[in-house]
Amino acid sequence: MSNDILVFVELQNGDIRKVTPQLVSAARPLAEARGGKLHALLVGEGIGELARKAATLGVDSVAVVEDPSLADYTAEAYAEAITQASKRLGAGALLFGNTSIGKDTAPRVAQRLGVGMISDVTGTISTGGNPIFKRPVYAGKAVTHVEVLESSFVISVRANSYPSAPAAASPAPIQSLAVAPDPSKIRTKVKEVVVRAAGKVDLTEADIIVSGGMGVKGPEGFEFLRPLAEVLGAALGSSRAAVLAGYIHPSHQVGQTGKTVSPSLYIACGISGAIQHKAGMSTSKCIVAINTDPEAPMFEIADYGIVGDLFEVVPPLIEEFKKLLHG
Amino acid sequence: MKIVVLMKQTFTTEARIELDGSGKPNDSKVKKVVNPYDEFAVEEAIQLVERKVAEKVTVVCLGPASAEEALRQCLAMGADEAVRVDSAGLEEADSSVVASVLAGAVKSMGYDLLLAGYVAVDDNAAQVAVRVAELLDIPQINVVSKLEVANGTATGWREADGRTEVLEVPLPALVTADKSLNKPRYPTLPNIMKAKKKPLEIKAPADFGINPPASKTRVVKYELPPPKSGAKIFKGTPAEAAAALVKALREEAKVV
Amino acid sequence: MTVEIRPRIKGYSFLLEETDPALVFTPEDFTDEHRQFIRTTREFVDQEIEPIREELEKLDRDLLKNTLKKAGEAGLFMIEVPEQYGGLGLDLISQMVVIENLGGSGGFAVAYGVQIGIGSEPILFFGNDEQKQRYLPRLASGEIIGAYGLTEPGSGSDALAARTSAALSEDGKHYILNGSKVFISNGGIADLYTVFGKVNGEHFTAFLIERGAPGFSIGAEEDKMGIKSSSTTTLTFQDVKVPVENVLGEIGKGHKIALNILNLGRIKLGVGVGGGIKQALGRAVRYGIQRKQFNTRLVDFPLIRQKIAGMVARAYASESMGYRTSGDIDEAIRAAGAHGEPTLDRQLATLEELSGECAINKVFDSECLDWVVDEAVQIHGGYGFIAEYKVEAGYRDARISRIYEGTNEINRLFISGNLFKRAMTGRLPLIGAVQKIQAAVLSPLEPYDGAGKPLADVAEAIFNAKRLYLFVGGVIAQRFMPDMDRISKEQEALAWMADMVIHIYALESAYLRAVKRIEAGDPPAESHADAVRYQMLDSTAVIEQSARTLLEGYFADDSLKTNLAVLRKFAKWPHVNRVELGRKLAKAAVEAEGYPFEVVS
Ligand SMILES: Cc1cc2nc3c(=O)[nH]c(=O)nc-3n(C[C@H](O)[C@H](O)[C@H](O)COP(=O)(O)OP(=O)(O)OC[C@H]3O[C@@H](n4cnc5c(N)ncnc54)[C@H](O)[C@@H]3O)c2cc1C
Ligand SMILES: Cc1cc2nc3c(=O)[nH]c(=O)nc-3n(C[C@H](O)[C@H](O)[C@H](O)COP(=O)(O)OP(=O)(O)OC[C@H]3O[C@@H](n4cnc5c(N)ncnc54)[C@H](O)[C@@H]3O)c2cc1C
Repeated sequence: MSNDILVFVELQNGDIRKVTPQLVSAARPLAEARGGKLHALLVGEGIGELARKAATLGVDSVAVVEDPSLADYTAEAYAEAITQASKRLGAGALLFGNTSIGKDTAPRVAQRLGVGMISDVTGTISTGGNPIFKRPVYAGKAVTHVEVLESSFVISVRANSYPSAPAAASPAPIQSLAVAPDPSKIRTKVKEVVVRAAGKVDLTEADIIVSGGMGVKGPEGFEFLRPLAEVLGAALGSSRAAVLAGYIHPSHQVGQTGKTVSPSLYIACGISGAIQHKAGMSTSKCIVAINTDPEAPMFEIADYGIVGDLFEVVPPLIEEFKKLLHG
Repeated sequence: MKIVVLMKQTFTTEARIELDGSGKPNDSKVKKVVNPYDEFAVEEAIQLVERKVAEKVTVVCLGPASAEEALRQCLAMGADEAVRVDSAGLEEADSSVVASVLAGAVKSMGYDLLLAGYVAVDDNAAQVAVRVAELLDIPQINVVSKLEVANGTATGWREADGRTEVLEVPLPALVTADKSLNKPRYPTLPNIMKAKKKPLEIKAPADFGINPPASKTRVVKYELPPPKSGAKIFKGTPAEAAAALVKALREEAKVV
Repeated sequence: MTVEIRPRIKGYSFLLEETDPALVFTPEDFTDEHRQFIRTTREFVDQEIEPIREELEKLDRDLLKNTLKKAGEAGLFMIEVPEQYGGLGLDLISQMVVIENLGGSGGFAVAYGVQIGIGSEPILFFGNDEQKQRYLPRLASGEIIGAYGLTEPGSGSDALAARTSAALSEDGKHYILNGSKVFISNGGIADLYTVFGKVNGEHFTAFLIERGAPGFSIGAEEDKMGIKSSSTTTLTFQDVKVPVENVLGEIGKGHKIALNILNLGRIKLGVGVGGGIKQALGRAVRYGIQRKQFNTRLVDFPLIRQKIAGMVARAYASESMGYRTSGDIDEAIRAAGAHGEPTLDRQLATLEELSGECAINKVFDSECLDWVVDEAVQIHGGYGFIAEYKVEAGYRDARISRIYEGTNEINRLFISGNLFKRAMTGRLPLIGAVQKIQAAVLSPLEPYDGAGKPLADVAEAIFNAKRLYLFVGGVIAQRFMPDMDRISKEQEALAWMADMVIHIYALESAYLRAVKRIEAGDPPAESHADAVRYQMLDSTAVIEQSARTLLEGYFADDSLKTNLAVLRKFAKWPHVNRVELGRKLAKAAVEAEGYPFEVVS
């Protein structure tokens, strides 16, 4: 029985989070290798509808724990519910998304079960014998392969690391588990949950930067880029030439004599890629260049490029990101 | 009120990672510092003492002798005492082992509030502090950007994906720091001098009655990311190119 | 008072004997505490200075004062002031690690240097207890800012010729000061000024004057070439009443204060300048790594590599020398303390003993800095000429260091003049050594026995350089002896001999450090050896050239020929392939992306 695998289905804003089908596709080969079944577990209150939706995720069964103590998320209540459910289901391995709930709860569950855990997994190296997973360390500057040494374990999976499993043709059976955390053991009180409004992002701290150069043609050009930045929660950067031309405030300048940035994504729109500019951003993890000139030096250090007019490329780009992130 | 802060010495985030002959990150060349997230925790603890909410701050680190420099820095920032639990034989230990040693240490020291960074920037595991809380059977507020402690409770503003949860827990409890919690001070020269006289104890896990368990996971390999090999250019209409780009950013580069 | 000083700590004794590397302090000997001081100082620079560098350059007095206040809060002014007066009373090395790491901060470093140096040391060393109680704690905390007024429109290098006058009031309660000062650092922001004047036009005396004293006015800011973020003003005194309690030290003994404070000022300036050298080097290397021409990184062009190698060697020699001298001073002060507390008098006596070495540091470091900032601009090409790049300010900021704390000309004259004086009075057994050399040149030269020594080739070069110095110095001195006045007029002789002394000390300091590394078996010991050998190429060239020029200047015909023949006997230097060595040394800097011997990364 402990060959079974349990996928924790995280719920947010009345829906199943996108990482869930990805967890299913990470879990399926593990289940096969162990000859076990794949369970999805939902925890909360009043979540029958979502359980039915989960039944089409491509799992073998869906388990639901409902209890008033689980209406608001707390690590204590969830960890207890998940631990009990996994014991009840006899699952040996548990998968979480490496989301903020995953980070909060999964280590607690692992400790409660007395098992090992690998966090922030980005890939599977092998499923046979002791499974081995891939995960980034040193801020992404190295990757490790980590082996689990016991048959029971927990992993948390980074979003977008696995493809989403296709929806199942017929829904999996749903069972309700009579598991309830002891309310006297839940010491955490949720006083308030504030949904954060997207604020202005500081350039040097930004995870994503949308940057414009002379190619944006004028101050209006930066207004044209702004929606792209907004949809990504990105900060706006610029070349020095654009600053000197008065298109944008100098505080946005990236480069040798501007700010040095190292975001995970840098989208350079209409920036030629002069060495002085590159000096401030070349360590970005992923660089995208959009430029009409195929010979623009920015393409030399870019990971991805589109040769084209930014005024034509940016609008569909915004649409695509909207679909992806908010659709 | 007594605060214990868990601290790890790590590489700086700017460090260039190279692998040594045995395929492990070469740590002889890189600068080591107090894990930046732990530094926020230390700063918060000191501020709680300055605000007269707490009386005493003890910093605990499981690490080799070289970690004492980091502990001294915490003392110089304003912590009252430091304990290094010697990591001899535990260099490769996983989070579950580290947590069991630290939980034992913390328990025998006594504490009302346990603080830590939510993650260490080197191994990026974000497990140890939460596991310690579980072992000690105390509640937690994880990844906080603001903390208030009064009347035996802690209220923390927890940064969760897209929202802020305001949570209240009775003490003793664990609170882990996010980067927006505060701005850590650098030690002043007089405080560096004073820190020399503050106690820095060196202990072994056995001193806390702990026999470290075996690791449950094991790193079998380190790899460096491949060097960049020129841009992938997306052709077609703007709409097609945009769609292909977004797909690649999500599925290949995994940055959105 | 005479101080018992261990032999190695006798001023200039390095010219006469070998030094045991184990007794030399090097940056590799930094303690944990030193490292923490360094980190705090760097954090201070990164967090409090760098973000407002441009604003500071515009010299807003309030901003400068506020930033100095923050330095005070970080405890950076407490380094030298004794604990009983609110400071930390650190030894010199511990002070130096702070000074060095602020040294690259242009005008702010000057403001800082004045506060901890000439702005407070006169009181620290010469004040009475009441004056110390009154001012030192506030100087140490940064509550008040200090300045030092010695220079006048008519008296710069000739500082003791000051015209500012002081006359005792009829009631005997005040001195009435009249006159003016120029180029006073911190002039526009200070609260407390140590000012020199002559009582009755005769007795050179120091006075403590507070801002706001009636009749005391502060001029406008000078528009300077560099260190623009520091305040430099004139001071004018019109019947300023200074209470007699504010006389510092004794009436007529002001020169003692002025001269003694200079010794510390020079070594501290030298070490601070060393911080600037490393900073310019780091900027040049990092720029050269990313800039490509002809599809090649600048740092991969051999000519650029040779420039980098020259920078590294200079940084290494300057750093080795600064910490050697500072360590020696600490050691001497501690040794004096072994027979009781190291009193201020003993400290001053120690500093006087090593005043030659202090001046050597000042000259060598400030000239290395100028060379390094110049090449740093060159490596930047046109960009180095543009104010947005930090090397541009670094270039301008460097220039002052050769001018103040005694111009380098004055310091050179001092290095040799002071040495001759000690030789003549027997304080330094130079004459005996000269005689020995002169006897030796008549027969075949005794070879240097470097068997089994690390870097034996460099050791031999240093040995020969010293013999050459003693020989040339001896023959020149004999031309003028015993008339000391005559030699003091031969400025070329004094200055060029000083060049030999400076390079002997610099090269030997670098050598001692490298040997210490090699003996410790450190992995980067090879780079240390490279740095020393590169410095040897430059130093031996200066030493030989100076010797030749001196002989050619003071001898003719047969005596010149004979002397040049002796010169050739001594001027034997090992062959070094500068092409290879330079490329290799530079490679270490490129890999380290800056100074490769940084001990606290
Ligand atoms: C002392 C000094 C310091 C400097 N420091 C910096 C610095 O810190 N940061 C910095 O950025 N620069 C700096 N520079 C300037 C640098 O050399 C370049 O001049 C600058 O980066 C060029 O900016 P740009 O790419 O926006 O402009 P350009 O080089 O003019 O490039 C514009 C690009 O936009 C493309 N384009 C035009 N129209 C479109 C369109 N419709 N759609 C898509 N692409 C289009 C063009 O093909 C071209 O590649 C410095 C220069 C000097 C002299
Ligand atoms: C930015 C700045 C800050 C300063 N801060 C202070 C301060 O805080 N307090 C203070 O008291 N002073 C300060 N000074 C003054 C500084 O110490 C003097 O400028 C310096 O001592 C030289 O004096 P001078 O400018 O009058 O030049 P001069 O003495 O006129 O020298 C001019 C040239 O003649 C040479 N020369 C002079 N005498 C001889 C000689 N006997 N033999 C051979 N050559 C000679 C000099 O080397 C120099 O090259 C500062 C100066 C500057 C520019």
